[in-house]
Amino acid sequence: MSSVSGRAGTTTPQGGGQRALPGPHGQLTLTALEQSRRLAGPVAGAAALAVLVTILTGGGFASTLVLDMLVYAIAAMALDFLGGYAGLISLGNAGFLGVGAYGYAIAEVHSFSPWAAVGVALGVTLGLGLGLGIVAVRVKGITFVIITLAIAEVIWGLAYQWVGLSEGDNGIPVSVLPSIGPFSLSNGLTLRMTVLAVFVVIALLLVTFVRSPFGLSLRGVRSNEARLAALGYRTGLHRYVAWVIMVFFTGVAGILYVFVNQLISPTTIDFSANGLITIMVIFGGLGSIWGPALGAVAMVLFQQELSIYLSRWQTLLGFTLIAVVLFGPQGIWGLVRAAGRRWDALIGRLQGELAGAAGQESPGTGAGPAGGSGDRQPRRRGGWLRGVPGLAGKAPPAGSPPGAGPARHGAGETRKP
Amino acid sequence: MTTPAGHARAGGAGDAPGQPALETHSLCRRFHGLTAVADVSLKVAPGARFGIIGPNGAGKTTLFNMLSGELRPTSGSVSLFGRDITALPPYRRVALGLGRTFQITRVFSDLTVLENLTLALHGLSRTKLSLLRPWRGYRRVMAEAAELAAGFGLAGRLTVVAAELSHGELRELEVLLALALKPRVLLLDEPAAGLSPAERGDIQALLRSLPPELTLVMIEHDMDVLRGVVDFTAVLHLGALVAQGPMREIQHDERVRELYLGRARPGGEPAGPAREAGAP
Repeated sequence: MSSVSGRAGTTTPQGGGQRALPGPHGQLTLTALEQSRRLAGPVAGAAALAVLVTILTGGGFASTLVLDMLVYAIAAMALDFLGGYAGLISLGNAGFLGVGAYGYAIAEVHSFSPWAAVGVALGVTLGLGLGLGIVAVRVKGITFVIITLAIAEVIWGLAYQWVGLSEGDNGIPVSVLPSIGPFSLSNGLTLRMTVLAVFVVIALLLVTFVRSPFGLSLRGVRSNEARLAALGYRTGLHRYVAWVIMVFFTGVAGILYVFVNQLISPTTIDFSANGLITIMVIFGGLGSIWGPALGAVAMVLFQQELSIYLSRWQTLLGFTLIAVVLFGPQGIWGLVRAAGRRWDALIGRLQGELAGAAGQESPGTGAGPAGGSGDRQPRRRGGWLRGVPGLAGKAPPAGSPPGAGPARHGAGETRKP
Repeated sequence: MTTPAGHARAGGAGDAPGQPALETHSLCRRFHGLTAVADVSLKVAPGARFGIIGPNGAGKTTLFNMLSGELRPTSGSVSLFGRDITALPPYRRVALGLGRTFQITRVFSDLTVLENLTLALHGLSRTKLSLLRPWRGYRRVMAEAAELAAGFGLAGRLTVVAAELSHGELRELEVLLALALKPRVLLLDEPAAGLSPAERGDIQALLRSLPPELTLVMIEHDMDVLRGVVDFTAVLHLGALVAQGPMREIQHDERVRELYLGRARPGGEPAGPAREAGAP
C-alpha cells in the first residue's frame, strides 16, 4: 500500500544525514514529526478505505479483484489472530472457509430461505469450531499444524466425494442471495459494500481483541505458556476461545466467498488453497492483523494479475516467499513497523538535541550526550525488529535515565543472551 | 526498599483455624524406577520463612513442582491451609493463594516489563478473558503495575522488553510476577541463582521486606542466601528429608555438615560445596 513507501521515504533522508539543527526550526520540525507520527495510521486507514470505496463503486474487473482480496483478507486476519498472537499457525483454514461456503450453498439448495441458510452456515461453522477445538487445542507446534491440515483434508474429501450432498467436482452454484427490503445482495453494488462493511467490522473487532487483556494473554501463551499457567491462567481455555473466534470468522469469509463467486467447488478448499491463506499471513506479517490483510492483497494480485503475463507465476511467488522469509521475516508489516520505529528514533533524537541546546550554550558538548547516552528506544511498537542497531541515538529529554534510580546492578550492561 | 506486596491477602474464607499454611503427607515421586522424592512430610506454619536446602539432585525442584501442581505425585498428598490440593492443576492452586517463582527465570521475554506485570495482575481476575477493552485502559491495573515496579526499582524500565533486562532485574521481575498475584504462600525456587554477591544481597533485602503474614517457602542449595531470610529449614538429600529444625540448629547439625562437607577421610578431598566450612 502506498503508505508504506510513503513513510519510509519521509524518514530515510533525515535519518541518513546526521543532525537536524536545533533552534526554532528544530522545534517546528519536531512538532511536525510528532503530529505526522500520530496521524499516519488514521490517515493511511482513511485513505485505504476511500480507495476501496472508489474501486468498489466503480465496478468492473478491479472491483471483483478487490472483493476477492477482502474475502481472503478476512480469512488471513482470522488465521493471524491465533497464529500470530498465540503462536498456533493453522494450515487448514481454507477448509473452514469451505464449511461456511458449503454450509450456505447446501442449505440454500435444500430450499432454506437465504437468511436461514446464512444462519445454518454460521451455526455449522461455530459448532465445528467448538467441537474440533477440544481436539486441536490439546496440541501445539507442528502437531497442531498437522491436525489442522488433516481437518481441512477431511473437509475437502467430503466436498469432493460426498456427491449427493456437495455435487462433487462440479461444485454447487448459488443463485439466491439474502435481501432486506429493497436491498438485495444480488445487486452488485449492495453486495460489494456489504463485503467491505463486514471486512471493516471484523478487522476492527480483531484489532480490539488483540489489544485487550485477552489478546495480551495470547501473546503470553506464545511467549511462555507454563509461566502464564503459574499466574493463574487456564491457558487451554484462552487457546480454545481464540481458536473458536478464528474458525467462526473464517466461516464468515466463506459465506461472503460464495456470495461473491456464486459457486463453491472443491478446488477452492484444496491443499494449495490452505497453503495460500497461511502464505498470505506470513507474507503480510504474523502478529499484526493489518499485515495479513496486505498479504491477502499481494497474493490475490500475484494470483490474478501476474498469471496473465507469466504462466510460471507460481515459481516467482516461490522465490518471493523465500526472499521474504530470509530478509524480512516480519513480512510487509515489518517494514511498516521499522519505518515507525525510525520515526520514533528521529523524534527522540530531536527532542534530545533540543533539550541539550536549551541546557547548555556550547553546541559541541550539546550534541554529545544526545548522540550516545540513550540505551533504549522511546516507545516500543510491537515485538519485532527490536533493538535495531543505529537507533540508539535516543535520549529522553529531561530524562529519567534508568541508572538514576537506586543503583541498579549495572542496568543495561549484562544482557541476557 | 518499600514493601510492594504490603497487601498480601488476609486469610481466605473457609480456612480452618490453626491449619498449617502448607502441608505435605508422605509425598513421593518416582521417574521410571528412580525415586526423586521419597516420603516427604512437611508442615509449614502460616507466616513462616521456610527454607529447603540440599545439594544438587536432592529432589528440591521435583518437590516444588509437586507443591505448585506442575507435577503429580506418585503418592502422598499436599494441602494448603487444610484444603487438599493434590489433584488441582496449577492455575487453581494459584487462585487459592499459592504463588511460585522458577529457578530458570521464566518471564515473558518478548513482552515489556509493563506487559509482564499486566498479565500477572489480571491473573486472578475475570478480566483476563475480557475482549473489548484495551488492556492499557485498565487504570487501576496500570497504576498497580507502576507501583509494583517502583517498589523494586524497575520504575524506569516499564517499557523495556524483558529480554533486554539485566540478569538481576530479571530475577526481580520473576519474583514480582509472583507477588503481583498477592499470594498467601510463595514458593521461591533458588531466587538468587546465578547472581553476583551484590545482587544476592539485593534479593535478600527484597525477601526480608516482604509482609510478615506472607508464608515463604524457599529452595536453596547455598546456605548463605538462606541465612538471614529463613527461620526454619528442612534438609533434603537423595529425595528424603534428613533433618529439619530452626536455622540455627540446622547449621550445626552433624549430618548436614557431613552432607555439605563430605566425610573427612584421611587424604580425601571434601565433597560438595565448601561454602559451609566457615559457618560460625
